[in-house]
Amino acid sequence: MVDGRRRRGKTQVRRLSAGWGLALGLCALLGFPSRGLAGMLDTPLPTFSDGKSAQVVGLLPRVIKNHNLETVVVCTNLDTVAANIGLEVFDKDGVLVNSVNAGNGEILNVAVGATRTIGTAATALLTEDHKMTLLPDLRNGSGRVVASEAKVFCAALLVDQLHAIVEPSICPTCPVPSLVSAPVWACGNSIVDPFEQCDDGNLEGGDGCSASCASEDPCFGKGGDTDGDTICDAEDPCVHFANTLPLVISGFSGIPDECLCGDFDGDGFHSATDAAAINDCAAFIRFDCVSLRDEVAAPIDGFYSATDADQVSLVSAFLEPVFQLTCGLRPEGTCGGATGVSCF
Amino acid sequence: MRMTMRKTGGALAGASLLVWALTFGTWVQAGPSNTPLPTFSDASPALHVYTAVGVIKNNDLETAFICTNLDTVAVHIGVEVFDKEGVLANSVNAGNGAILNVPVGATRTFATSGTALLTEDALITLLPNLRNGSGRVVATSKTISCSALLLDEVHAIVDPLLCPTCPPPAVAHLPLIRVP
Repeated sequence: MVDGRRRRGKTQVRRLSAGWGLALGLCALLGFPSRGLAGMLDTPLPTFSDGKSAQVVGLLPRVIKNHNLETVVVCTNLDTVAANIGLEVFDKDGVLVNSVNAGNGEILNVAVGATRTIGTAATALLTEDHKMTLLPDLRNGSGRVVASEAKVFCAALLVDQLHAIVEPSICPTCPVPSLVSAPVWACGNSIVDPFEQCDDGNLEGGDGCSASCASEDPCFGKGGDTDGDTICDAEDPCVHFANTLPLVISGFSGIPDECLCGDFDGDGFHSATDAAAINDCAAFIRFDCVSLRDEVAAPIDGFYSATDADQVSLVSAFLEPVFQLTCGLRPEGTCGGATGVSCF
Repeated sequence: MRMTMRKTGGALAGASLLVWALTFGTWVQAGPSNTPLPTFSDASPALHVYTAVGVIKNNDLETAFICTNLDTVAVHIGVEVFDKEGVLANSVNAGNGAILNVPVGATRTFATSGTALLTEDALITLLPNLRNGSGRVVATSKTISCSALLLDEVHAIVDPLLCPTCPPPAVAHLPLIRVP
């Protein structure tokens, strides 16, 4: 069941970033599994009335239909083929309140370059191409725009249903309709929306940001490719050395090279390769980082020591942002000299 | 014989191209993503800088674009508007929706009509009711920054001491999609 749902989600929500999965997983951990199929994030995607499958092209965290305030989405098909477009609305409890498959909130075969407008009701200000049938007062909910093609982009407005703009010379005191834009979270709109790791304004992968707006940088969230070799690997933390504090650590066995810097590999410079030469990237982790380091090693012995590194046996532990790696970067060659020379 | 075959092949290829053009030509060049980019009136080629979804000119609601030149040289800036079917509704090349030589650091405003609230530098001449459409900002440099507004055409902000019952205009932000 779970695997089936995962497979379905991967296929259907291909434009949503990997972050959505994390969010959903977090929800499950927090004890909301019963909400697993509710709301804009986790409700199964519909098919259109012509049988075409739908994918999410925009999430609307705020859809309001209340007290004559309505929500209108304006969508343009920027793809190269005609697209079906649908708007699904969820009430305040995350319950889907319309069926795109039944034609409620659906516009089929929107031509390339064409723009269509879907509203939660007709408004006096705008001209909607499709008015949804919803209960009179949705109150506050959410929504998602689905489409048969990926490159459909939308804007959303919250609009006064009843008032139009009237020329003041005709009616100087007629009130003006309320109008405000509402956010649409979408991959490919050049805005890093919630749950996106990146958004480079396109839906192509292989350019550093995937088609689902997940970062293609293997160093993303891991401290970065600090040595500039385009690979995020164990070498990277080694350039973060600022071992200004001599680390006299209980429980440490062996030579405390953490408190040393020097030309270990004999290339004339103190640099990342020195760390590789001594095979201990932890040598360049500053003390404050080290103290955090022990907090995540298991078993926690209260000390940072060589055994910590052994326990996790991965330098990548130091790449995780949770450890707040703030170690400074010292440029190549600024600390030449023999082993044991103080860094600063 | 060989010549005949070559001619026949050429004719077939031409006919195929014609059929393809008649079949697909209309949609291939529709909307802000698939319409060829214009040149400005001085023949400078335009770059696609922003896409706007939700350009509205309807019931006295207009759309305005405000762009600032962040480049180190003067740039040409234009706004193209597409109707709800994706058909281009103005010609930047003809100067409709274009401002040439925007100085370094300068800001210019384009709008689908003059409004009581803003002071526009370029008015895009369009049919009276575009209804709902889309648009794109083009320029000779990508180093410009633009924002867009949907706004009431006819109302200004009037000092309430002078007119306590005069309503203020409706204004809403319209997000723009930056093209890489």
